[in-house]
Amino acid sequence: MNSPLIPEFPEEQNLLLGEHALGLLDPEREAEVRAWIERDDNAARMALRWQQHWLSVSDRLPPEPPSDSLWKRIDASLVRLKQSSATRDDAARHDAEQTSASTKASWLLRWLSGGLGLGLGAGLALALVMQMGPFSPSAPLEGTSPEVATQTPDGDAQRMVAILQTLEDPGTPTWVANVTPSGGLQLTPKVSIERPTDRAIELWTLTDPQEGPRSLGLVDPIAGIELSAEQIGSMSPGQLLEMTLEPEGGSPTGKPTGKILAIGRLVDLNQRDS
Amino acid sequence: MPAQKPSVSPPDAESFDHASAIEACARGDEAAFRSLYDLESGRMLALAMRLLNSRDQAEDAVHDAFIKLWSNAGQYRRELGNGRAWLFTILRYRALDQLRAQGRTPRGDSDALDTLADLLANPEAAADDSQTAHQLSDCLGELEVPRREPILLAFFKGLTHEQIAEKLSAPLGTIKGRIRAGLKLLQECLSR
Repeated sequence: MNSPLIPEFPEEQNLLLGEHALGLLDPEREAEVRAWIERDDNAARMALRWQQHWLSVSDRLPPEPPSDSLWKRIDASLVRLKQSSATRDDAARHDAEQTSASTKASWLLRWLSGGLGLGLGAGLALALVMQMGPFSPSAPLEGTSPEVATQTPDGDAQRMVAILQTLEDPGTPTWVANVTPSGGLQLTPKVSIERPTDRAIELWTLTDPQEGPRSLGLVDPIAGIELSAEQIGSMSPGQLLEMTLEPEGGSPTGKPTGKILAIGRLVDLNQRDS
Repeated sequence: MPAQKPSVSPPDAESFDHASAIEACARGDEAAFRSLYDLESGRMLALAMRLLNSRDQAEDAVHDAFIKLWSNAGQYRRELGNGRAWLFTILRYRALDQLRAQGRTPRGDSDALDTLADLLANPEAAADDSQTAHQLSDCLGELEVPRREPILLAFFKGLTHEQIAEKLSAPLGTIKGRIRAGLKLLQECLSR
C-alpha cells in the first residue's frame, strides 16, 4: 500500500514522477517517491521513462571533457571497492564476532583515530562504545520516537536501528537511523544540529575497517533523509554510521575531514529481543 | 586496471548497449565499466556542471555516480527501463542531493535560459536524437514560454519552486501551477 503522499491514479502518479525527475519535490516527498520507485516496478518504469525523455534534451549540451584526474580517482576508488568486496565476507564474520567491549573499542578506535585522523584517546573511544552499548527497544532513549524502535517489517525480517549520538554528549540521541523493510535507511533528526551556511553535513558508514569510512552522501539537517537500498548498499548489525561537518558539497578527499557531529552503530532488534 | 582506448564519439551513445554494459559491470567486467565511462562521462559532466555550477563538484558527482554504478550494477533490471537513463538517474540523485544539502542556492545561471533555448532550437543536434528525443524536444517546443521556462530551470539548474518564483518574479503558486500544467501537457504530448 502506498504512502498517502503517493497519488492513486496513474496519470497523477506520472505527474508526480515528472516533478521528481525535475528535482522539484520537497525532501519528505522526494524520500517517499524514491522509496516508492524502489518497491514498485511500475513506478520505476515511469521514473526511468521520464529520465529517458530528459536525456534527449540534456544530450544537447556539449560534452565536457573530464579532467585527467577524474578517471584516476574513479579507478582508485574502484580498487578500494574491489578490495573491500574481497574482504567483505571476512568483515561480516568479523562483525558478528564483535561481542567484547575491548574488541569493539579496537574497531572503533581504528576508524576514529586511523580513518578520521582525529587522534582520539582510547579512553574516549572506549567510553563512546560503552555509551553506544545495548539498549532496550521497549524502553527507547529519551527523546527517541518509540515507533522508530518498534517499526517492524514482516515476520522474522531483520529490524535494525542506530541511535546516533554526539561525542560531547553521548547520552543524548541526535539522530535515529532506521533500516526500512525495503533495505533503505531512514534518518530522522531528534535535535537541531547547528551548521554554518557554507558547510555541509555528510553521512558515512564503515563496513570494512581497511577500506575506511564510505560516504553515503549529504544530509539535510532539518528534514532528515531516506536513502534507498541502492544508495546505501548492504547493511549489517554492528555497522557504524557517522555524520561529519564538511565543506560545501561534501568532503573533498572522499573521507571524513571535519568534526564528528553524531555517531552510532546499527543494532539488530530481533537479536536484542531474543 | 589496464588503460582502455578512450573516447567513443558522442553519437555512439545512441547505439551502445548500455543495459548489457551495466550487466557486465555486475559481473566485474572492468572493460565494460571503462567503456561506459568513455562514452558517458563527458555528457554526465556537462549535465552535472549545469546543475552544480562547479567543475570540481560536478566531477565529484560523476565520480560518485560511477562508483555507485559499479557497486549497484547488480540491481539494474533491464525490463524496467533504459540502462542509460538508469545511469543518469544515479548522477541526478547525487547532484540534486548535493544541491539540496547546499541549500540549492542558484548561482551563475543568468544565461541559462537563452543557452537552453538555443539548444532546443538547434535542428542539427535534433538530427542525432532518438525517436524519444524528438518527441520530448518537440513537446517542449510546443509549450508556451511561461510554462517551459520554469521546467527548464528546474531540470538544468536544479532550482526549487521558490527559487524559480524568485528568479522569474512570479508568485510561488503561479510557478507551481505552470510547472504542473506544463508537465501535464508534456505527458499528453509524449503519449500521442
